Parts: sequence; structure tokens; C-alpha cells
Amino acid sequence: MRNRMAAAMALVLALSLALFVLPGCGGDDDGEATLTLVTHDSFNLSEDVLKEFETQNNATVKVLKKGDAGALVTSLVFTKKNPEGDVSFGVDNTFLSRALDAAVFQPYSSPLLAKVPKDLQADGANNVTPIDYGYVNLNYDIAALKKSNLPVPQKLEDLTDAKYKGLVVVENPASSSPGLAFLIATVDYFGKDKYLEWWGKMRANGLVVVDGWETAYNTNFTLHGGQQPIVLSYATSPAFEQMFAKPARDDSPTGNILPPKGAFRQVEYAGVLKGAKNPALARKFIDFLLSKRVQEDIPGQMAVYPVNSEAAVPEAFEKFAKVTVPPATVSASDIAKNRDTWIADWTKAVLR
Amino acid sequence: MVARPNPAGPPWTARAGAWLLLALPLAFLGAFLLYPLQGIIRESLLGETASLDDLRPLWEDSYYLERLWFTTWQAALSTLLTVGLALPCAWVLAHHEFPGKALVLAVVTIPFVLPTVVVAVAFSALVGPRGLANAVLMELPGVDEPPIRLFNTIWIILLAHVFYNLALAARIIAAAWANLDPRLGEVAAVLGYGRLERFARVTAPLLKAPILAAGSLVFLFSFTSFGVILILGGPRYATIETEIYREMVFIFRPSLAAALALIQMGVTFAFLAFYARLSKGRGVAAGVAASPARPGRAGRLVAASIVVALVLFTVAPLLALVERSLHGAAGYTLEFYRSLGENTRNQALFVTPFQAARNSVMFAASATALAVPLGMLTAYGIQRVKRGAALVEALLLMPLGVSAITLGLGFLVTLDEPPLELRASRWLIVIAHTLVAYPFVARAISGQLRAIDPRLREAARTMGESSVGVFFRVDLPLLWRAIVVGAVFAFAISMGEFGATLLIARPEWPTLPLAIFRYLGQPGALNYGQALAMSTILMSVTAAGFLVIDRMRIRGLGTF
Amino acid sequence: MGDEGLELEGVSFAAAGRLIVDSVSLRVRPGETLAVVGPSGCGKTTLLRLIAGLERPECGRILFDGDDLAAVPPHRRNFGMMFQEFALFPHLTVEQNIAFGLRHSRFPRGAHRERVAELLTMTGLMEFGKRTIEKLSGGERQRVALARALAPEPRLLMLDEPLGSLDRALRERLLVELKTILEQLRVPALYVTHDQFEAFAMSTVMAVMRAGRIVRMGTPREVHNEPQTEFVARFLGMENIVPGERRSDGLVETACGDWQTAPAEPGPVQLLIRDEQATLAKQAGLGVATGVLRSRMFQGNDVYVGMETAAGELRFRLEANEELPPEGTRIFVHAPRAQVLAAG
Repeated sequence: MRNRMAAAMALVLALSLALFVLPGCGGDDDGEATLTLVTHDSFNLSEDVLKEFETQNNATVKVLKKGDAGALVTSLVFTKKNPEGDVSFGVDNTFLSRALDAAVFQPYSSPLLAKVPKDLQADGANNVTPIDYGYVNLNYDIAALKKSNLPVPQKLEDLTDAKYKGLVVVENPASSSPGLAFLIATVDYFGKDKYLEWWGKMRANGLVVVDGWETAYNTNFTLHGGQQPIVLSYATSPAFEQMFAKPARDDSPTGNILPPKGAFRQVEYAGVLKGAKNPALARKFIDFLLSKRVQEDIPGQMAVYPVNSEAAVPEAFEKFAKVTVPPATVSASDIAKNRDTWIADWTKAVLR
Repeated sequence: MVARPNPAGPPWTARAGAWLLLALPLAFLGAFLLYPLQGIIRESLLGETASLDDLRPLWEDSYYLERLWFTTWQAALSTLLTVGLALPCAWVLAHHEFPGKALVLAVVTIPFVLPTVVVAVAFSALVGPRGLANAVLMELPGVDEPPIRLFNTIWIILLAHVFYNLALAARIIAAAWANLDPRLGEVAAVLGYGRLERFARVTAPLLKAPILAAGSLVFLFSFTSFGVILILGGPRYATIETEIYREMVFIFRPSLAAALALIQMGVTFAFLAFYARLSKGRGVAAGVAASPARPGRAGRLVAASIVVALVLFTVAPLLALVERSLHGAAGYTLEFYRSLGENTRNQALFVTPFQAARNSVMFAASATALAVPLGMLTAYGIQRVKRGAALVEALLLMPLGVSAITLGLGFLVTLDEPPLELRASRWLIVIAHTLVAYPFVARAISGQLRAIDPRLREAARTMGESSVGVFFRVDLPLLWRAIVVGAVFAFAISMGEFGATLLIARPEWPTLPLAIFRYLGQPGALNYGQALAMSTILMSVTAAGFLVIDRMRIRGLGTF
Repeated sequence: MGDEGLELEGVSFAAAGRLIVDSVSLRVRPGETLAVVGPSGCGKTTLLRLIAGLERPECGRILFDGDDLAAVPPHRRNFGMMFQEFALFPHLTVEQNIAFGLRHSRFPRGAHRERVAELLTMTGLMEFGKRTIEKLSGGERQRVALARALAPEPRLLMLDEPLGSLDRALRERLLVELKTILEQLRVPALYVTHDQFEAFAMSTVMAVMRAGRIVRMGTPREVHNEPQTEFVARFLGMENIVPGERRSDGLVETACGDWQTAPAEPGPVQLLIRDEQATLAKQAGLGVATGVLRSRMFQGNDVYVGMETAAGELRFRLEANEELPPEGTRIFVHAPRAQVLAAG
């Protein structure tokens, strides 16, 4: 009886000890420099691309992921005095002001910025460097709309038509970055006085609001068995649907709805953290992120567009993710000033 | 045979004293709960980002009071429903043997580890507007609209809380019920009490401690519920926990978030202290299981239908998930599983399911290994505290009632310097899991501990057992069932991850839930299928873990 | 009138393929106490559980006052039962334990307090009402259990080893009290015990069970005087059983002496030589056992002697004032009572 017990205990202890003698558990490597990147969950690069940076600089790159972009910024702000890493990637223009207000970055101007269109660069600050951008906009399930004999809506106003009743799902701007981005786009399109009117009509027309992109896309979207054929997602989503279709296909099952000013351009930035242990390497990493090699890797890994105008984008992006219309234009400072009010007013108008 | 003293532990604990026993758990709690929490709260309320203006909504807007009220009543209702449904399940588990019982137990415990996003997918496949149930009902003549509309209602929140916690409650209660002397119920039967009345007047009072223990855990889980509220409940529902997250991460009013976190902790602490007072007193009668009453044919039939209902309730959504993970555009396929092992996109930080499973199991085994001794020390210690026992007990259960995001930020802010420089260590993940897991072990054990007849220990002493021997040969075998239950849930908590680890996760040690999140975060049928395939792997690995833990039993003890 | 009390007709019960109670028939009338005795595992507790309705018989009928109880659940039978080791409710006080059954009794709510007080007095527990069960001694617990069973005035009382775990002095005292109480109540009662002296003392009728069957039933005197089978005799502590040869005139010849019994079929038989009313004899003869004195045990009124005979070891009770020779001496014991036992 005691033996069985002891065996059970020993098994548990052995298992847990095994955790700490596992092969490849890293630790501090022999004299190599370490660069720690603090980023969000969606960060990804190709393995050999990241390796290249490591070999070139005789360094190891350690990646810390902090949940979504909001959680990333919050962590950066709270660890400002003793940052967890050297460089951060993933703060976007909806959250930028928070990071800049808290002064978590130190200035750096990459020589490669010359290849980045001016309008993508953050106004008046060289603390952060734009790395990629994407569009938040509505997608639709091509087959589902066809089946119901519905035309693809051309402007945001179309969606208040009774024929689209209950067919649109968006994310809550109070808990989701694309949700907030789209809200800002509607403010820009309809104007500060009129946007709530549209939202009110949408509410009356059976608008579905969910907490975040994962729920909207994976649960509510008809493509995945939900009930709404129109979903708030990204302009690159149809391209991804084609690239990662199973079995492979030449077209995309979804398409973009791109009314003028109906899309919001999200720009993601990188910056060297104040208090970085290895600022020189951090700066090199930002140069690296702007290099053609990385910029051409980014679309396939993170479903966003490169900022470097020399970088080519995948064929699928050309076919299914082209944004030809002007996006909404709201400055980061304008967003910072009004964000809370817009969210609060929207919540009252749409949810309560 | 006359009134005997009431030592609650084996003799060596009597010598050691309550505080010596509690020293380790309290130190652990101090270092990894209180210290990080005070750090983040101080930073939020007094640091640079602090703003008293941000606190204004607290008293100017009745919104937060409404949230607190909603949080409380949905948690209370979830608890009542869960415990109510758990009782018949516990009765079956405690009194009936049937083939595949261990497997059923393992399977019904699986929901506990599933990420809410995945559960949402499963529920939607079953009871969603276009799910199976509605599809079947809409075949009926005259039914044109989906008749089941659960999503974004309070019902799906309650349903999900029951789904997550049913096995937890049933197993804690069953562990005690199996030890209950069946003759007590028979006495009542002979004295004129019908079945229900017997339950209400004899069984329920005798099972008070384990029922309260289970109920308090379910309450805490539902009270601090996050994913269920956000994802299933939809944006019209919010608990204090989701508000804290929103304020801390999205709106960024840290002062308000910290104030809400304090309020939440205050309420949980008060609840726990109240609960600790309630549950004082003697536990289940009988130290050793009396031979179970032989169930009659009718009893067996009822038991069988309860098992079937329980399995259907838990397994149907799980099966829906498995089915979807096998369902490609062109019929059934293993494609999603096959592709999990291939880094087709050449991703840095790519993780194979094997690595993810191995990491998950390692973290979970370590957390369990730490949580079991810590939980036992806590259970023995609490028994012996004389003054302020309720407060000490409430404090020791606090990890279950704090806001996960706040604690995670607290880790980042405070554990960044020697001697507690753990921010970059994988130990911190184990510690975070242990922090939430050990109260389970303590809860599961303490009810049983109280029920051990001290004479058994005395008898063992007179037969020449040392005090250590008494612990191993009397206490441990009698507590084994409860320890196993505690260990199963400690393991499960770690397997399922826990909010605070979101901020301290190490991508070089990816776990199964993190891998699932990664796939769910990107559009594309392949990513979606892979997420579900990974979820199926998570379920299988977890179930296997449960079965292994369940196997660790001592001969001579009845199966449970 | 003839239907009054409890009646069992061919009741059988099996569990896990084993017959635990095997076609038992019996009857207990008001005022009677049936003692069911037998070695442990003979099915006597199960018999009580069947009567209480806690188990369902495989076949046979259980009737009370002529009504078949098959469809009556345990809580509607209004039987009182005292469980082995008492099974008191640990979450209730003494008073609450006793009052437990009153809820479903003929006593109205207002009369409960009075009834509890009555029983506390009857069982001598007046000061113990507010105590918890944990604080009670074994004897006190026994009284609480009895009071609890009696409180609702059951129409049948079942006692399962009610004195089982108590020490000897306490047992004898409680035995007398219990008997007095049972006699006052005049309800049919069943008393299960493994102890034949308790059974003799308590019962008006006793039944000896073996492997689920009642192998002997009768008044305590009948059973004691005529155990009939070797099993019953041995169970009742009668050990002087020797093989012998019966002649047609009833004389039984054994290796240690001859005894006269009733005339019957000649052939080999088992002879029970009763140990009581024995005296020392001068020489061998009819009704005299011959052997060597091996042991003596002084027991107050008598001496219990063991002698080695050609038929094995025999024991007798002699008057204490008999002059015994030293051990190892050849002696003759006149044991006037002997009877032939049936097999089984």
C-alpha cells in the first residue's frame, strides 16, 4: 500500500523534475548577445528570416508575447521603469498615444524610413517606426450572399436596408481593436454628429455585436457555420482564405466590402524601449524589420501589408486584398482625444 | 469512550502547531499573490498613470453598481444550478459501479480545461442558430425560425458555467458521499422519511461541508468569469472581471481598474470569510466507507439515466468539436491533424502538437506536484487555527477570487528584481498555476480531514506506528480520494491555462492552449481546422492525464 | 385476531448470485419478542432489512396484520429499527435524534417536546438532551438509539445487535431494562443477536439461522432443551457430542459409556450429552461417562470439569462442593440427560 503511494508520488515528482532538464531549455547561451522582443500574439516571421538576423549579429532573439495589442501596451506602460525587453513591435495607431504619453520608447530614426511613404509615419514622433499596415473593413461570404440573392453592399448606408437585417456582425469597440478601428472609420465617414444615427439604424436592423475578432470570425461568420454573412475583419482576410484553403482553390470564398472611407487603416509600429539593455541591437532589429527581406515575409505571416514601398506582396494580396478606395483618415491625436467619448457614446447607442 | 479531545491532525501536526503548518502556504501567498497585487494596485492608484478623475464613474455612474449586482446574481444562480445538478451526479458516482466509470469521470472533467473560444465553437455547432439542435427542430412543420436562441442571453452564460463546473462540484461531493454511512439514510427511511425528505434532512446536512466547498469554488469561478461572459454572453453582459480587463487593457484607466479589482477582492474575501464560518463543524460521518447499499433495479435505472444525461451534456459539445476538426470542405479528413506537425509556413516559433502537449503536461505535472503538498499543509493548518480561522481560510482561498489580468500585471511590475526576479523564468508559470490550483487541493481535502475519526489515529499509535507512520498509513489512505480529486483539478487548471499567464507566457515554452489561440487568431479554413484539431489533442491529453492521476490509488480503498 | 403481528411466508433474498435469506417463514405476534440468532453472516441482519423494506425479497411475502407489505416503502411501514452500532445522526443533538421520527408519527407537532422528554426519562438520559452524539459513551448512545426507535410508537420494533459493542456489566444491566421496556410496549419485536444468552433472556420465541435458513424455532426453553440438530446444539454452546450406535430399544452405545434414549431406528447416531445436572459417580453404568480428569474451573456455584474419554474431550458442570480427585485420575460422571441429534 505504501509502495503504490510512493510510486505515485515519485511519478509526479519525476515528471516535474523532467521539466527542468528538458533538452533545449535555453538558459543563457555562451556569450551571445540576447535581444528581447516584446510583442503581441499575432507576431510571426519565417524561421529562416529570423535566423538570418541572429547569425548576422551573433545574437539570440527572445520573443515575449503579451496577448493582444491592448495588453501589450498596458504591459509596456507598467514595466516602463524596468522593461522586459529591448524592442517592441505591435503598438498600432489606435493605441499609440497611450505608449507615447507614457514615454516607453526612446527616439530612433532608421535610415530605411526613406523607403516608407510619409503618410504612414506617426505624426511628429521619431520614437516609433511604422513596420506594417492593414485595413479593417467588412468582409462577406460570397456563396452565402449569392444564395440569398443579395447584392454586395456598396456603401455603409446600404447596410441599414431591411434586406440585410441581422446579417452583419461587428466587434465591440470597447473590447476589440478592429471594433474600435471601424467605429473610428464611421465617425470619419458620417461625421461626429451623424455617426451614431447610422449605428442606431444598424441596431434596429439587427446588428450583431460580439466581443472580439475570434468570435466574430470563427463563430458568427457564415463561412464557419454562423449566421452572419457580413463580418468586420481585415482587407487581407479574403487573401488568407485563398492561401490557406483546404483543399486548395484559385479563388477566395470571401470578398471585401470597400465603401469609400469605410475602411480604417491600422499601422503597426516598432520602437526601442527606454531602459533597453541592448539598445544598439534593438535599433538594428528595427532596421531589420524594415528590410526588404522581412517586409516581403510579413504579408504571408501576419496578413498585413509591408510599409517598405520596395517590398513585393504575394499574388493573393494583389488579387483578393487590394484596397483601392481611400481609407478613413483620423489622426492619432484626434483618436487619443476622443476615443473614450466615442466608445462610451457608442455603447449607449448600440448596447444599452 | 467519553468525550475525546479533538486533534484535527496526526500527532506530529499537533506538536508542530497551526502556524508552522501554514507558514509555507502563507509565505507562498504573500510572495506570489499579495506582493504582486499590492504592487500593481499601488502603481495604478498612486503611480504616474493614476488619475482621481478616472475614479469618478464609480460613484457618479450607477453602471458599476449594476455590474456588481449582475456579477453576484449570475454567480449565485450558476452556483445553485451547478450544485443542484451535481448532486444526482455525485450520488451516482459515489454509489454505483459501472463499466468505463473512470473514463466517464475523465471525459466529464474535460470541459474544465477548454478555452472559452473553443467552447463557443462547440456550443454554436450544437445549439447555435444554425447548430444541430435547431436544424433538427426546424425540420418540424411550422418551425421556420431557429427555436433555440441561447447565444447572447443569460441562459448561455449559466449553461456554460454549469458545463465548466459540473464535474468539479460532482466530484468533490461524491468523494465525501462515498464515505457517508448508508445506514443513516436507512434509519430515516425506517422512521418514516421518504426519499426526498431523507436527502433534505439527513444526507444534505451531513454533506454540508463538501456541498459548501464545491459551491464556493463554483461561485468564485462564476464570479470572476471572463471568457464566458465576453464571448458567449456578448457585449450586453459584463462582470466586474470583464470591466477590469476593459479598463486596464482597452480603455486604459488603471486607477478605475485597480479600484474595481479592490472591490472585487473585497467581495470575494467577504464571501470566503462568510463561507468559512458556515462550513465549520463536523464533516461527513464515518471514517471508513461502509459497504454501499446494494442498489435496486429502479435505483440502477435512475443511475444509468443520470450517467447518460451527464455524458450527453458534456460529451455532445466535445464531440461536436471533434467532428468539426475532422470535417474538411470535401468531407471527413485527417488533413488538419497531419498538417499540425508540418511547419508549412516556415514560421519562427512554430510548435508541433507534440511539443505543445509535452510542455502542457510538464507545466501541469509540476504545478500539481507543488499544489498537492501545499494544499495539504493548508488543509491541516486551517483545521488547527483557533482564532480567526475564517479569516485565515478566506485568505488562503483568495487566489481563486482575484482578477487574473491584475495579478498578471502585478507579476510583471513586482517580480522583476532579486530576490524575486522571476519575470523571465518558466518557474513563474508553474507558480501562477500552483497559486490557483492549491486551493482546490486544500478545499477537497479539508472536508474529508474533518471526518477522520481521531480514534483511528490513536489506534494506529497504540499498534506501534510512529506519528509519521500514522500520517502515511491512516491519514493518507483516508484522504486519498480527496487528494486525487484535488490533484485532478490542479492538473486541469494548469492544462487549461489561466488568465494571469497570458502576460507571463513564454513563447519558447508554448502550451496547447497557446497553440490553439495562435491558430484561432488567423483567418483561413486551415488555421480554423488546425485550432480545432489542437483542441482535440488538448482534450485527449487532459483526459489521459486524469486517467493516470485516477490510477494512483492505494489498494484497499474502494474505487471512486 | 389471528392475523395480528408480523408474518413472513417463504421469504428469500439473493445478492451477487448468493442466497442470503432462504425461504424464511415466521410469525411474531404483539407482545412476543422473536430472537433471531446465528453466527455472523447467516443472514439475520438482512432478514431485518427485508422486513424494514430496505431490501426487496426475491420471492415470498411479508405481511403485517394481514396486509402484504410488498408495495409499502420503508418510510410508510411505521416500524422501529435500532441499527447495529446505532447509526446515530452526528449532525443532530440527542434530543433532535430522538425527535427525528416524530415528524411522521401520530404525535402532533406540539406534542413532540413532551414525547422526547418522556423518552429521555424512560431511558435515563434526562441530562443529555442538548449534547451532541460525539460526546456520548457507548451505553448512552445505545439508549439514544433505542429512544429514537421507540419515539414514534412503531407497530413493530427491530433491534440489530443492540448490545453488541458494549461491555459485559453494562450489557447485563441494559438487558434487564430493555426487557422491561419491551414487555411494557407489547408490540411485536425482533431481536437479532449472535449471543445465545441474550436471545434466551430477551425472547418469547427464538429462531436459529444458518446460511439463510431458520433451522430451529421455538420458545427459548424448547430450543434449549431440544436443540435437535448438531448445528444448533453447538451454536448454543453444547460441545459434548459423541458418535454412537443406537439399538432398536433406544440404548445408545458410545466409546465413553451408554445412554438410554427413546426407541427408534437402529444405526449410527450423534449423541448430545448435556453438561448440566451432572454428578460424580463411583463406577461406570448407564448414563455414566468414563474418562480421565484433565481440567477444572471453579465458577462459583459449580465447577466446570474437562475429562478425556475414549470418545474425545467432554465437559460437565458439577456441584461446587463435589470432592474431586487430583488431575490425571480416572473419574466417572453421571450425566442423566442425553439426546440423539439429527444431522445438520
